[in-house]
Amino acid sequence: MNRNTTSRLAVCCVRILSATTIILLVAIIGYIAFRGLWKRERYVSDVLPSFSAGQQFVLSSPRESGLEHLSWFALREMAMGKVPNLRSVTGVNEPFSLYVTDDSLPAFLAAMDLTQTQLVRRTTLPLRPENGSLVVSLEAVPHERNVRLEDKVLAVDTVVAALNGNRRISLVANEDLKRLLAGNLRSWKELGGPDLPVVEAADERELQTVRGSWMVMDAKRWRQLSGSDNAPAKLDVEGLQESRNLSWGYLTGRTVESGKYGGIGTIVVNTFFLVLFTMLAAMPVGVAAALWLVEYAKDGLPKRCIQSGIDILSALPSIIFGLFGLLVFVQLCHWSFSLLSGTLTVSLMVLPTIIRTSEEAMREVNPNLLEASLALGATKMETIFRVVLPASRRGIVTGMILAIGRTVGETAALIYTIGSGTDVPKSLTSSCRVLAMHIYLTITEGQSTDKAFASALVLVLLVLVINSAANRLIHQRRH
Amino acid sequence: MGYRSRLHREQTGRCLLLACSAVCFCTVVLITIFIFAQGIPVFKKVPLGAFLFSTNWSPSDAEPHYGVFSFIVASIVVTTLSLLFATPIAISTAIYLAVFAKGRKAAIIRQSIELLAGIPSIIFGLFGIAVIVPFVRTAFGGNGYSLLSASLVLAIMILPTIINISEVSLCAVPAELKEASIALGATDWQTITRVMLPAARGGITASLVMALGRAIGETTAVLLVGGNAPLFPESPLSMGRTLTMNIVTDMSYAEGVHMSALFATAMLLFCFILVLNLLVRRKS
Amino acid sequence: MKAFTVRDLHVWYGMVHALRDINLDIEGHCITACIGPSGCGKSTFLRTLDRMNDVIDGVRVTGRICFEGKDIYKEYEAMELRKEVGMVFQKPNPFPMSILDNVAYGPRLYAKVGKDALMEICERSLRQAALWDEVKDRLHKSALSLSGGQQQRLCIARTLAIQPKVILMDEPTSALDPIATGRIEELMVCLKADYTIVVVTHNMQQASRISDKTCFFLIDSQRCGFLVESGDTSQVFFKPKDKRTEDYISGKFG
Repeated sequence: MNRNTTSRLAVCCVRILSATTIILLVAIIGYIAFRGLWKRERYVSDVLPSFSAGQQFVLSSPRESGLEHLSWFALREMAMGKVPNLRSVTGVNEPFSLYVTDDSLPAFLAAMDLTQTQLVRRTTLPLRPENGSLVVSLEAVPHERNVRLEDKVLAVDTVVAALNGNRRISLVANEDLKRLLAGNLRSWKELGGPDLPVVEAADERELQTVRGSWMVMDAKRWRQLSGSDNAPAKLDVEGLQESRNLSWGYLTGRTVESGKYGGIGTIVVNTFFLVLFTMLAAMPVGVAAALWLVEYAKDGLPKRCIQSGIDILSALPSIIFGLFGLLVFVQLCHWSFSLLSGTLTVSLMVLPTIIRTSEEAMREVNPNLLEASLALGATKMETIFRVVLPASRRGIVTGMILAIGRTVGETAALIYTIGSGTDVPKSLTSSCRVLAMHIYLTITEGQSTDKAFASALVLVLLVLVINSAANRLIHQRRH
Repeated sequence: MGYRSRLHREQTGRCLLLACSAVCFCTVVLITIFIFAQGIPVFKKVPLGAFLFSTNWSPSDAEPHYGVFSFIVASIVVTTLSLLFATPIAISTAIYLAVFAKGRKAAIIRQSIELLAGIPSIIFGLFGIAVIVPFVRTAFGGNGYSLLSASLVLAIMILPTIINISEVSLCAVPAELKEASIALGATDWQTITRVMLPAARGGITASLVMALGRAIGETTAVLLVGGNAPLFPESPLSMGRTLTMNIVTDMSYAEGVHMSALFATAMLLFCFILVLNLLVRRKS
Repeated sequence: MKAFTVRDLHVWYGMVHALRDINLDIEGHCITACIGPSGCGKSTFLRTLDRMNDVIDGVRVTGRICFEGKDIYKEYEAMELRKEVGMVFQKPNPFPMSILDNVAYGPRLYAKVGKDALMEICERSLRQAALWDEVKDRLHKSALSLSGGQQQRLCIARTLAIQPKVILMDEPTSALDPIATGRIEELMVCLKADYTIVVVTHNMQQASRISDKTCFFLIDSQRCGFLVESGDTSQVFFKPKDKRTEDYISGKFG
C-alpha cells in the first residue's frame, strides 16, 4: 500500500537523522582526542633522518632537554657558539652549553671539521645532569640520554636543483625519499624537477659529471666540496613526525612565554581558582534568590519583575556580560583586568542556572514537612535552614555542577575582563588566564595548533566529567 | 527574649533573601543603562539610518564611517542557515525520542544530546577550524573560512536546544489524540504529521526562537571560522563578520566614537534578544 | 455472513492473563452489547477486534479472529482493518481542529479529496450522526467549542466518514449526561441498519434497551476475564442459561 510505504520510508529517515546527534558527538570528541593525543608535525631536515655513521664519540643530553637527534650542521653551529639557547632546536627555553671531554676532543674536531679555536666549550666537569646541555665524551654518561647525530645528506647533481622554468626542487618528501633510495624513481620530473633520469652515482666524480645523479654523502665531505666549482647541491628532507601530544609534563608544566613553550599547569590552577571564587560569589546569592522565590514571593509585581530579570539574564549572550564586566568591574571599579572582574562577570552569567535548578529542587520538598515544622513553632527562616535546604541539597549541588561546567567553558565573557597573564595570580587583582581562554589565544595568536588541541582535550575531558556528574545526579533524583 | 531575637533574625533574613533575588533584575537594569549610555553617543555623530543601513565600516579612516549593515546581513545569513541545517535533524530526533525510542536507545541519544549541549563553544570553534573549514574548502572551493562554515558549526551547537524543547512539546500531546488518529486507520507517519506536529506547534516554534537567540549571540565559534572580513557578504561562501565578531575584534583597540559604535552594536543585539524573549513569553 | 468470528481468543498484558477462551460470533447489521462488571476485559476484547491493542507494549494475542471470513492478523494490515472497523472512545477526543477538519481527517488519509467531495462526505456523515443541523453554520469553528454530547457525536461522524462496516463503541455514553446519552442511543439504533455495532457498556438498562445480541463477561478468581454466555438480548436478560448471568442481571453483584 502506498501510504504504508511512505510511512515506513519516512520513519526510516527519522531514525537515520536521529542517529546524527550521536555521530556528531562521537566525531567531535573523537577528533579532539585524536589530535590532542597524537601530533603530526611537519619538519624539514637538512640531513637524512636516521642516517648516521658510527662515531668515535658519544653525544648525550639530560633527559628533559628534548634532544633526540641532531643534524651535523646544527651541531657544528652549536660547537661554534652560534646557538645560545636550545629553543631554536627543540622548542624548550633552555640556555645551551656544550661540554667536550678532553679525550674525545680530537675525534670531535675531526668529525666536525673544526679547529680548536673555532670551538666554544666548557672544560671538563664532573658530568651531572644539571650542568650539561650537550656532552661529547668517549663513553655514554650514565643517567643521560644518547643523542643521535645525523650526518648524511642527499647530494645531487647541480642541474637537478637548478631553476626549472620557474620551479626548483629543494625539498624531498619522506615518502619520495624512500622511493628514491629503493630505486623506484624514474625521473626527477616526478618530484617537480627537470626531466632527467634518476641515476645513483657510485662516487663523487660520477656525482659531479653524470647529469641527474644523486648519492648519500657525508655532511662533512659535502661541506668541504661546497666551495668548489661544480659542487653538488643538497636536497633537504621534509617529513611528518608523529609523536604523543598531550603528556603529563604538558599538563603540569609551567607556562612559558604565553604558551609558546612549556605546559598548561599554571593555567589549570587558574581555572580552578576562577571556579572556586565564582562559586563562592554566585552560590549564596543564587540559593538565596531561589529561596525567596519559592518560600516568600507573593504573586505580584515584584515577583514578576524578578522572574523576568532571571529569564532575560539567562537569554543574554556572553559577549554582553563581557562588555558589562569591562565597563563596570574593569573600568568603573578600577579593578582592571583581574581575577576579580572575571569572577564577578561569570557569577552574573551562571546565576540564572543556579537559581532555576535550586528553585526546582525546593519546590519538590514535601509541603507536609514545612507544615510540621511551622506547627512546632519554628519561624519560616528556621524552617528553611533546617528543612528546606537539607531536603533540596541534591538539586542545589546539581545546579552548582552545571554552573561549574559553564564557567570552565566560558571565553567571550572573560576576554575583556580577566586578562591574559599566564602565572598563578598572586591576588584577586592580578590578571590570569583560564583554560578556554588559553585555547582561544593559542589559536588567534597563531601558535601551534597541536598545543591548542592538547589543551582542548584537557578542557573536553574536564567538561565531560563535570557534565556526567551533573547528569547522574539529575537522573538519580528522578528515580 | 529568645523569641524576639528569632523574629529579628527572620526579618533580616527575609530582607537579605529579597536583596539577593533582586540581583538579577538589577543586573539587567544596570546592563541596559551602561550599554545604552556607552552606545548612544555614537548617534550624535552618525545618524541612525546611516548606522543601520550603510555597509561602510571604516573606523580607522581619516573620515570614519560606522555602518553595520554588512554585519547585520552576515548575522542574519549565518543564523538562518544554521536553523535551516539544524531543524530537520533536530525535529527528527525529537520525533524519534517522543514516539519511537524506548529504553536504552532513547537513553543513549538523550545522554549524547546533554553532553553535546555542555561542550564549550571554543571546542566547536577548534573543531570547525580543523574539520569543517577544510571540508568547505574542498567541497565548494575558496578559502574555507566562510559564513557557511560558521553556520555549520552553529547548527551543531543549537541542536540540543531545539531537540529538548520540541521533545517536551511532542510528549505533551495527549495520548487520546494519537489513539483517535490510529483508530481511524492512519499510519504512524500520518499521525505524526497530521496530529502530533500541529498540536506541538507552539513548543516547536518556541524552541526555534530560543535557538535563534542562542545562534545570534554566539561569539567564539563564529569568530574562529567565519573569516572576519568586514565586507558585505556576497554569498554564504564569502568571509563575513557578524555583529558579535565585530564587537570582539575591535574592542581591544577602539576608543571614542569607535568604541561607542561597538557599544551601539551591542545595544542592537541586546534589543533583538529582548524582543525574542518577549515573543517566547507571550506565546507561553 | 457473520461480521466477526472469534475462536479461542486469549489476551495477555505482559505476564497478566487478561482474557481467556473467548469463542463467539458477532452478527452483521445488529447491535451487540458486551456487559459485565468493571475490569472483566470487555474493553480489552473490543480493542482486539480492531487491533488497537497492538499499540500497547507487551500485549500478546492468541487465537483466531476473522472479520468477514478473513483472519485479521494474517490477512489484513492493521491500517486496512481499521478502515473497515471504526472505534468510538469513552471520552470524546476530537482533534483541536475545526469541525470540518475533524470529520475530513479520515477521508484525507486515504486519498486526495476535492473540496466539493469533502463537503459532501462531511454533510453525509454529520447527518448520519444527527449533528448536521446543530453545526451546519459553524463548520469552521473549533471542535472543542461543542458540548460533551456534541463532541461524542462528532467523533461518531468522524468514524462514519471513513465508511467502515463495523463501529466499535467503548462505553460511549458513560461520560455524558442523560439527555445526550438518549440521543446517542437513538443514533445507534438508526445506524444499525447500515452498520454492525458492538458496544461495551456497564449500563445494563442501556444494553437491554438497544441491543439485539448480548455477551456477558465475568472475571474469574485469577483475575482473568472470560465469556459466560452470549445470545439474543431477550434470551440473556429474561431466560439466562447460566446462573451467574441471572445473578448479575438481577443485581446481586456488578
